[in-house]
Amino acid sequence: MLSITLTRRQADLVLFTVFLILALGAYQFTAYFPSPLLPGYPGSAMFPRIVLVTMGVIAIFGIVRGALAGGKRAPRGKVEIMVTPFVAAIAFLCAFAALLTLVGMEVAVFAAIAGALFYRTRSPLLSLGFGLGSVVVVYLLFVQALSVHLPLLFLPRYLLGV
Amino acid sequence: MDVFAQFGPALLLVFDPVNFGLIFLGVILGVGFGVLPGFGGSQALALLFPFSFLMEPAAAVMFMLAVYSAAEYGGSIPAILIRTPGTTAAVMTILDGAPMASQGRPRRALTISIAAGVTGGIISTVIFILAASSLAWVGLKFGPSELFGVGVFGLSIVGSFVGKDPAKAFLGATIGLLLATVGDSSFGGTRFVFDQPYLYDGVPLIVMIVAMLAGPEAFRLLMSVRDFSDAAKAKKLQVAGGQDDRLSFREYLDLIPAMLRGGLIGTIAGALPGPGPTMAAVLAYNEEKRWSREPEKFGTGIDRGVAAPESSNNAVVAGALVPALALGIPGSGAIAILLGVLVSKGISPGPTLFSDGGPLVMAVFIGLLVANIILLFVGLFGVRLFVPISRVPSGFLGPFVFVLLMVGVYAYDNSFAHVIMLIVLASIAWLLERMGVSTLPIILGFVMGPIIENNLGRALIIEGGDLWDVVSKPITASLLIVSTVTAVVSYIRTVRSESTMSEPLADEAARGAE
Repeated sequence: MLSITLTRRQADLVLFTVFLILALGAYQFTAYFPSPLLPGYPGSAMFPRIVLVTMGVIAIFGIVRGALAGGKRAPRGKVEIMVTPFVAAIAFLCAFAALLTLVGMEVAVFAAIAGALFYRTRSPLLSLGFGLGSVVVVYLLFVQALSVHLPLLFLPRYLLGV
Repeated sequence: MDVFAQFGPALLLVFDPVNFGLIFLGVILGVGFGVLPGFGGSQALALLFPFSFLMEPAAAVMFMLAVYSAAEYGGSIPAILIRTPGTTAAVMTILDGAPMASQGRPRRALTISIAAGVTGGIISTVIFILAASSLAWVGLKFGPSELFGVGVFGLSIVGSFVGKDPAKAFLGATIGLLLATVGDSSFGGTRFVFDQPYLYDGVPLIVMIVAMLAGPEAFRLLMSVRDFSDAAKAKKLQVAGGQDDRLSFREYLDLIPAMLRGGLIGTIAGALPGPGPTMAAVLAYNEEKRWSREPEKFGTGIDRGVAAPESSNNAVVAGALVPALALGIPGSGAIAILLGVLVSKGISPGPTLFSDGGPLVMAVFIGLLVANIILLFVGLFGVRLFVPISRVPSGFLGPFVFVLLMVGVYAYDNSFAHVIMLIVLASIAWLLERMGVSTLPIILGFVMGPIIENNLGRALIIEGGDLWDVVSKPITASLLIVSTVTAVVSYIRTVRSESTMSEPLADEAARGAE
C-alpha cells in the first residue's frame, strides 16, 4: 500500500511553500480583474489582494520558522498520507457521481452501498438488503418528500399521479 | 425596538405546528447523530444543512439549534455506556458516568446526564433572553467601518483556539477568505472563475460547509474499510441496573447547585468566541471538584461529576449565540453553520438583527427552550432506542455518510458541478487536516469574508476611498489593535507552552495530534 511519510517539519515546509506559490500565482491573476469604476471606489481586486498578501506573509513566516527550527526546536511527530486508500476513496466518489448522472439514482445508490458493504463485510445478503433499503430511503426522502430532482432510471417521479 | 415586544409573535412562530414538528424532528436527529462516535454538533449540522433550504428562516434556525443542542446531549450516551464519547465535549462525562454504568447504575447516569443537560440549556437560554434587549443598543453604534473591525477581530481569535499552531489556523482563515471571493464581485466583474459557468455564483456555502466540516470525517470513515472495532469492543450494554439506579426528585434537587454552576460556566464559555463545549465541560468539572467537600470521590462515579459537565456543555449552545447574533462572530464550526443558514435566507447576522430582525431572535431562543424540554422527554424515554446506534462500526458508516452528503449537495441546486466541487474540496480538506491545518478557520473565513469585504467597501465609499479614515475611527482602530494583540499573544502563548512542555509530553502531544 503506497503511503507518503514526512516529518512534521518537512510537512510544514511543503504546506507553506505550496500556499506561497498559490498566493503569488493568484496575486498575479488579480491583475486581470476589472478596475474600479470611479476613483476612490474599491475595485474587485482589492480584497483578494489583501487576503493574498496576508496568506503570502503567513506562508513566508511558516517557511522561515520551519527552516530555522532545527534539532530540539523542530516540531515533533510524523505525517503519514495513505495514498492508495485516499485515491481509492476519491475514485469511489467519482464513480458514484458519474453513475448518479449517467444512469440514475437507483443504480448509483444501490451500487455504492451494496458494493462498498460487500467489500467490507463479504456478506451478500446484508449488502443487498442495505443497498435496496438505501435506494428506498433516498427515493422516499429526497424524491418524494423533498421533491428533489434526482436523476431516476425507472422509479416514477410522482407517486399516485400527484 | 424592544426585543420583549416580540415575545407574542415569537411564541406563535415557535408553536406553529410545522415549526414545532421540525424542532421535535431536530431533537430526534440530533440525539441520533450525537450518539454516533465521531459525529459532533458541527458534523450533524453540516449533514443536515441542505434540508434547511426547504424551510422558512426561523424554522430552519430552530431546527438546526434543536439538532445542535440534542447532539451535544447525544454524545454522552456512548460516553456513559461504552466509554466512547459521541462528541468531544462528552469526554468529561466519561470520568464519572462510565464508572457509574459499570457499577450497575447506567440508568441513573443517563438520567443525570439528560436532566443536567436540559437544566444547563434552560439556564443559558433564560440568561440570554434577559440580556437580549440590552444587546440591541449595539446595533445603533456600529457602522460599516466598525463592522469591518468586528469581522477582522472575529478572525484574529482563530489562532488562540484552533489547533496547536496559530500560523496554520491563520493560513486556514485566509484560504476561507480567498474561496469566498470566487464568483461575481459586488464591485464589478468576476473573480477566479476561469471561464467556468458554475463558478460565476461562487462556491456555495452548503458545499463548503459539507466539504470542510463533514468531508474529512467522511473520508476517514470511507477509508476505514476494515474498522469494526467499535462494535467489537463494545460491551454488552445494560440499561437496567440495580436498586439505586434511579434518580429521585429529591436527589435531582440536590444536584441543582452543581447544574447552576455548570450552566453559568457553559454560558460564559459559549459567549466567549473560542472555548466551546469541550473547554466548558473541563472547566465545569474542575470547578465542581474544587467546590466539593469530597474531591477525592470525583472519578469514582459520583452524581455531581456527571451533572456539572453535562449542564455546562449544553449551556454553551445559547451562550455561543451571543457573539454570533449580536456581532456576527461565529465562535465555533456549528455556530458558523447556523450563521450560514441565516445568510442563505438573506438575513445578515450582526447588531442590526436585534433591532430590525422582528420576532426571529426571540423565536430562536424560545425555540431553543422548547427544544430542551422536548429533549428531556426524548432523553428519558428514548435512551434504549438510541443506545444501539453507538455500536455501529465506522467501517460500516462510510458509504452511507458519503451517499447522504453527495445526494444532499446535489439536491441543493440539482447541480452535478456541486457534487464535483464537494469531492475536490473534501479531498483538500482531508489533506489539510493531515498536514495539521484545521478546516474550522476555513469555514470561519468563508462565512466572514463577504461581511468583511462588503463593510470595508461601504466604509471606503463613505470615506471617499481613504483607508486611513476607515481604520482610524475609534471603535475600528480599537478592534484592529485588539485583533493584532490577540493574534500575536496567541502565537507567543503557543510557542511558550511548547518550549515549557517536557520532551516525553511533547512527543505524546505530537502523536496525539496525528
